[in-house]
Amino acid sequence: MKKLIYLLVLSLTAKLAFGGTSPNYKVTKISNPPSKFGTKQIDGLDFLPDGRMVVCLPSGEVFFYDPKTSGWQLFAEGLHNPLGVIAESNSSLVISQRPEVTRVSDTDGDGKADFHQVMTDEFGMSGNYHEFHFTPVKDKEGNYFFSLGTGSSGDGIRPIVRGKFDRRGRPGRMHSSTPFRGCVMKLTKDGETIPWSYGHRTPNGLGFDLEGNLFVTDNQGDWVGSSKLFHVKEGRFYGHAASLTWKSGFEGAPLEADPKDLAKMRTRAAVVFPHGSMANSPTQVLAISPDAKFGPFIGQLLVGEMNTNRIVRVMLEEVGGELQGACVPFIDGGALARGCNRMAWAPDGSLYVGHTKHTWAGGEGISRVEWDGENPFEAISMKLTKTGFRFTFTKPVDSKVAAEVANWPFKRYYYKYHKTYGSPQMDVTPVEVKSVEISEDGKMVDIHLKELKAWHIHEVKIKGLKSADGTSLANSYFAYTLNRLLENTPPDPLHVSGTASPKKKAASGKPVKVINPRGTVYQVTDAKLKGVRTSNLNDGYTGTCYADFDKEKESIEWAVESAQQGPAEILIRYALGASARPLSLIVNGAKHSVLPFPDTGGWSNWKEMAATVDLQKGRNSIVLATNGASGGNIDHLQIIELKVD
Amino acid sequence: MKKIITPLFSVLIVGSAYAAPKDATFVKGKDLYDGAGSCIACHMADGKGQPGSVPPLAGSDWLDNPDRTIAIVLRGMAGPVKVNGDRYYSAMPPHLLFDDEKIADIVTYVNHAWGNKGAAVTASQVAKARKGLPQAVYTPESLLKSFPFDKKRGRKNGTFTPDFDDTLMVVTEPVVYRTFMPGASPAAFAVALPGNHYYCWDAGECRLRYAWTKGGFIRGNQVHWSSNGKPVAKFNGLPYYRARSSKLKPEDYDHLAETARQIPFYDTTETVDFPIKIDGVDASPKYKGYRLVQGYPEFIYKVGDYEIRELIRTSKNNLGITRKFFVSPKVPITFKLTPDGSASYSSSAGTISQDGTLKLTAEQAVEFDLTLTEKNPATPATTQTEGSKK
Repeated sequence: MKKLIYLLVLSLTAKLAFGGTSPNYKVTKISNPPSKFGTKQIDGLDFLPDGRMVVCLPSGEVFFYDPKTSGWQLFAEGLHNPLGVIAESNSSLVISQRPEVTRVSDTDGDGKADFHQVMTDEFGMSGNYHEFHFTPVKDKEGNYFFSLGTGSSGDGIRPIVRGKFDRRGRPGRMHSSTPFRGCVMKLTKDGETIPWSYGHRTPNGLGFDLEGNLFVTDNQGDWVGSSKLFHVKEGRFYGHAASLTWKSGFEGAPLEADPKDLAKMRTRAAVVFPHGSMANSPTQVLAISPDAKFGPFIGQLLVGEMNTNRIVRVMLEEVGGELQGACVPFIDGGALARGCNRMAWAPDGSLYVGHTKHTWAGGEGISRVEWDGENPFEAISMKLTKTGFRFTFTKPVDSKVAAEVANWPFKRYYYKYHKTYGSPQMDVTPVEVKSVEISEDGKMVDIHLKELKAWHIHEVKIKGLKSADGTSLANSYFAYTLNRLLENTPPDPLHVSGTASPKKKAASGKPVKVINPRGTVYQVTDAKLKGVRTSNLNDGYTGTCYADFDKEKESIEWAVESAQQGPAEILIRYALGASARPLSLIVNGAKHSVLPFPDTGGWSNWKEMAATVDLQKGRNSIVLATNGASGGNIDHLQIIELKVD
Repeated sequence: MKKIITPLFSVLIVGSAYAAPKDATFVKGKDLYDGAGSCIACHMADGKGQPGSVPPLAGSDWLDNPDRTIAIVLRGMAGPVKVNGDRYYSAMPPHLLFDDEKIADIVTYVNHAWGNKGAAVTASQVAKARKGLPQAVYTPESLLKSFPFDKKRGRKNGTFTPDFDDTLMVVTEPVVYRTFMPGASPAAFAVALPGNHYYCWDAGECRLRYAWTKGGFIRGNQVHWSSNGKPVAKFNGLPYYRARSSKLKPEDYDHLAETARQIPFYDTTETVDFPIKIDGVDASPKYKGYRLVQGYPEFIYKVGDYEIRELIRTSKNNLGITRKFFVSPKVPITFKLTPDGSASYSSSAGTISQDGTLKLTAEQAVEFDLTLTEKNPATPATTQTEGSKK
């Protein structure tokens, strides 16, 4: 029999802490590997069968650590940004590095690697720094999975790229112009490399649960309203558009597709990590294994967090045929460093955490997290019911506090699905708690809500909850990604914002061929300048000078020759050490667009602004004109003619 | 003047435009810069210096204080410096023997040339500076202690702590880095060999891209990985050898370190320049990995069913590199050696034709050495050289 207690909704204004490591977990530091470059960032971490730990450093060094002697030993060097390692034996490692999945082994028994064997390099590299290659993981059948980051508009691509270049995937904030960037990949045990899932942005971390389900995280950004955890299944699309370039059956350029169509294609995240409160850059996924000595959470998932000193715990359940569930901070703050990037279970059941940053918010060094064997006061699960959520705790709750409806201030919201960066929380609505029901043993608490709304995140910061023995709840902030209800789930409302980009005539689904990749460069000295001055005050321009816009009614006009009628890409090289200064682009007398010209980070930092225009055969006029305000410094115009097949 | 045969990755030297007053001091200063002062030999006619070694004067963020500039020119300075955000390692020699007027002319010229907008300097300023000089050549630290940067300009520091790459001046054992290299696909190797021979091997196309020996190994690889991974490696020397690439035009070589392109010059699926031809095999080479043989990388790649191994070491006479090839199973091969004006090839088997073709029998191809040597007037080219020049 359960006690049934009805209470009025009260509002409490007291500020409370909702996260923190339970006192039953202790975080200590491990010494740093003796890198000859002095680096302390850890980008890969695993344990060898003999109990030693292996770590990969961004410097390309790979070290072994013996927990018994605390001694370090260099195993391999010279890898290119290794971001994950599997120790297959005491002398053979599988490593994800930028260009490959590589088996690195010591074949002559001298304790140092002498053989770097390619397991697969069947994916592209544009040379963009953001094309990280993350974490190899291995399933029970011996297949490997790894994930490929997209390129960033924070820089472009290299003059020579590896693998097939496809310009359909090139535009966008995060791009995929060479094969399979933005995909989770499978390397079968027979050596075949296949794109396994699509729609990933920065998939920094794969992992299996104990049943063998594969998961991957993604970082907030374009198409990713807030960071996420996905249950990866073959052939699915998870939302980031760029990698659709490589999905068979998808035609045209991803950025020209209607976001509604993309939203219909996408599989929703099993868990969304609310940005700014739960996690900003989730990393690896690690199941709490039966061999782990980590408390009563076996089978749940740990997810590292890069920006803050936190490891999140994820509790999943299957609803309507798909996994969904809740996340809660777990190891949080205190001695734990930021940048929790890679994690592994030591033979003694403790958790080792490698920290990194790569210029982003993060940390360095290695932490060890030990559980003291005592029962912590935490929620073991948060499950969907027909009328709300059921929390199960490790200990009986203080029924007086738990029964107080006002201590369960639920709210719900969603994140937009669109190509712009991130999303605010939309339609934030408090959800009224109708009643709280506590089980007889005091461990189970049913929260009955006035309404459950599918396709919304439901979160609560439980106030002041204590166990019956007076222990404070270590972590009381829960966010449940409610996609599906137990019954009568309405259709996915898609949550799209924005419409399809106006389709450029040039690229309407048809493959476009670049006629001359170098294009033709027109300097400002080749142009007719109205009011614009030329200058050479700031370095880095090409030719003899650049054009310096100063006033609201100035323009540059180039006369451009085209051998054919058809589409062309124009690239305007410019520098701007101030906030954005949009300029109008006028082609053959007709206004084409207003180009945004964002800040380039300094007057000597030159970047390119791109647009696609239609040229006529013979002479064309291309004008850049101010728009009621000044413009940036313009170095040159480059025209790359394209051919529609 | 340095003899530059193949200006690979060098800064384009363009005619300089002077926006400054062409008064007498300026003209005298230019004469000294170009002539007796020998400034031009290192800082170059365009004032842009030389990447990684000599800092630029054009647009230099060190030229904010004429007294500091006078001090450097007079007393000289040794130690690595950061100018406009880039690292430079060469020392500046003292010029104490130049009189006050000449120093004033040179500094005035530098302050006004190439679009610089600095102050004109007088002989009396130089005379005053001369009295305050220290006994020893400046270090960047001692100089900046006397002449700190103006805090208002937000310039904190003009120097840096040298890291491992900077100290790697004398190579005693092979060093293998996988990193972003100019003029190669993003899947590149940078290798340093004992005897200070360096090369770039491209796993994206399975071939040696270029080799160099002067100016040191790549610098700032630490910057590559300790940042977000963006920077492409830099080195100071010029390759004496570079592989033929029909996909690149000579002018492209100045752009091969770029990262900010919209579209590439080409992708590796389009490459046609793999130099080893086996009759009846059309397949592109596939990179398979590398083995360390006494620390030296031996690259392994496959062409069709044939495995090729390539072990690169310093040549016996220490003047170049020797590429040892193993081809299995046995098959005759044709090796198209890149015609290049500044390097010569010799082979342990077969004869290299005038156009750089080496035909080997199946027996010969099992194992053979190709030795690549920099052509240098001081060290006559080895026996068999390629004839063609660009």
